[in-house]
Amino acid sequence: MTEAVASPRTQQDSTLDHSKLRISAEEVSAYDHSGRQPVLLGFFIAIIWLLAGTVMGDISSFKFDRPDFLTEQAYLTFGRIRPAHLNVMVYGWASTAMFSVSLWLMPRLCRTQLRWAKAAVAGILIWTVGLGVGVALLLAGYSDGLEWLELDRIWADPLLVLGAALVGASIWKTLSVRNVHHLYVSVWYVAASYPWFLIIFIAGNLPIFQGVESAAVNWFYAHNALGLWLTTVNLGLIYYLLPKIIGRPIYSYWLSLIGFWGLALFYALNGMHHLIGGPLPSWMIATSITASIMMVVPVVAVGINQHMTVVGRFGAMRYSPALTLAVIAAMSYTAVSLQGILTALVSVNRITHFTHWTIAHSHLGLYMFVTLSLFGGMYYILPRVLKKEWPSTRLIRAHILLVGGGMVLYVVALGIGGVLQGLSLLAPGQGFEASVESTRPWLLMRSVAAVIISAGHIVFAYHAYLLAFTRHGSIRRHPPFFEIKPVLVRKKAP
Amino acid sequence: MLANSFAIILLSLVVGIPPLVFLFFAISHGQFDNIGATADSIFEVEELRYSRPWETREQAEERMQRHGGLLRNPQREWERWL
Repeated sequence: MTEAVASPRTQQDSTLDHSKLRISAEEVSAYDHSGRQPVLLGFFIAIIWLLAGTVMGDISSFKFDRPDFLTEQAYLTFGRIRPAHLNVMVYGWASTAMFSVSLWLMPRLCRTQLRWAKAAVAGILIWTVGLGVGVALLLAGYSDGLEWLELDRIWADPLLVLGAALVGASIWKTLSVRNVHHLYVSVWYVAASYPWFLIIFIAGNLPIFQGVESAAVNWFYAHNALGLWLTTVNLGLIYYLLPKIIGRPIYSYWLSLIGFWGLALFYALNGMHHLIGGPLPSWMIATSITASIMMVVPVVAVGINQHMTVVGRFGAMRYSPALTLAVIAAMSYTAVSLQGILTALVSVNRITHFTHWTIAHSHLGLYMFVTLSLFGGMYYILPRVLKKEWPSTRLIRAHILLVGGGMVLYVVALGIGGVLQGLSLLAPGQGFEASVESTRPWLLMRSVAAVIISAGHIVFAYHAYLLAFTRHGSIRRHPPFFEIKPVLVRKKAP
Repeated sequence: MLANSFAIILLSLVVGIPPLVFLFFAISHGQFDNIGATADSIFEVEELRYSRPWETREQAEERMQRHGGLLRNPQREWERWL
């Protein structure tokens, strides 16, 4: 390496000339190593939860096609297994993987070793115990009864709060001793996520709200959990991966800041659009719809920025599964956000509310955006932390095709089914049975899609096992990502 | 009606006001005074000089103009960005 530039010792040093702050690969490797333990632990636990949540999701889906399927045990009934699926996927898979992503990103971006790594490890373990207790109680029939907040507020939620607080403490401690002054946009996203999550999660679980107020606070939490927790960490990851893999800075750094600050300032009131038509003060609904429409600004800013960063270089996706997944996730973020804004309009909401459209919408966000982003992150991060390359290009291809194709089928089928269901429910001459009948073929397609996606998860988990616990990833002479030829298609590079 | 809304008003302020404070704090501390360099700060030494096989001739020339002569890709280098 030539032109090696020493890292600044203090934040003040770094303000002199940011362009001189390039660091060596060895330093980056040291930062990765500092967070190795919590990062690997988080990813390992996340994959376990992914598989568990997948089984629960499949069972929930099959019950729509065959309502008598697995009804003999109470813990397998729809009312328990479906919220268990949601909580396992949101808090077990996505959130735990996001802990790892955050703990890996922050040292790199702050140019310092991860601080309080042991606290982060303890946090991930406590979070996992809390979730395990909560899911066990949920399956046993103990639920708080609020969407996204079903976990027991006495036995489970305090552990989740403590776990997230410990991971957040490690993140903020690392931020506080950073060796750079200017914060890259991913740092804003990741660092802000932790206090936001703690505030909304504690507020959502306070047992002091009743009636309409409880419903309003419930959706305040549920929507903000998506926008100020799941979205933020993953946008931070995408803002890091796209330029790094493409090899050029993001198109407009100003737009990235507009995207972050727009989200931070406008998002909080969005959730009440889920309660359009409910007995809420009209100002609350109107404000929520207005806030939702204002989200066009940050969403379009992020969409344009990410597209313009990659445009003209989509060929790079053939070489990098991490980039492929990050690009699909970024596009899905724009799509699901615009769809959400559309759904907040009363005329659209009248049809789609209380239908399967909402499930399609949430899976577009939680899977096509959040989960694919996390898969992309794991494809990028794990080889760097483990110092080994992914063993098989075939398994990578199979995984991406199965989860991508399966989820497109899922969202399209359930979206169509949801609209048909909504139109049927609004038709005065039709009975409720007609709305059920209209959705049946689409629900069957959803179950088929769920099986395809599950196969993709099994492939990914098996591949991660090969990478982490066998020598497959290290004994290859020319690991796939090192070769200058496409990974994702057989066609040779031009 | 506002009595029922108090929790939401309060929570929205708790979530919404701190970012506003942080925004002014960030502006006053010069966080946005050198954004071009901040955008570049994620790259390692020489990282932008390596040629990418997916780039067109024009894109490679643009890279060369901005970052200097292109370097060959030793195989181990691919680990950095793929």
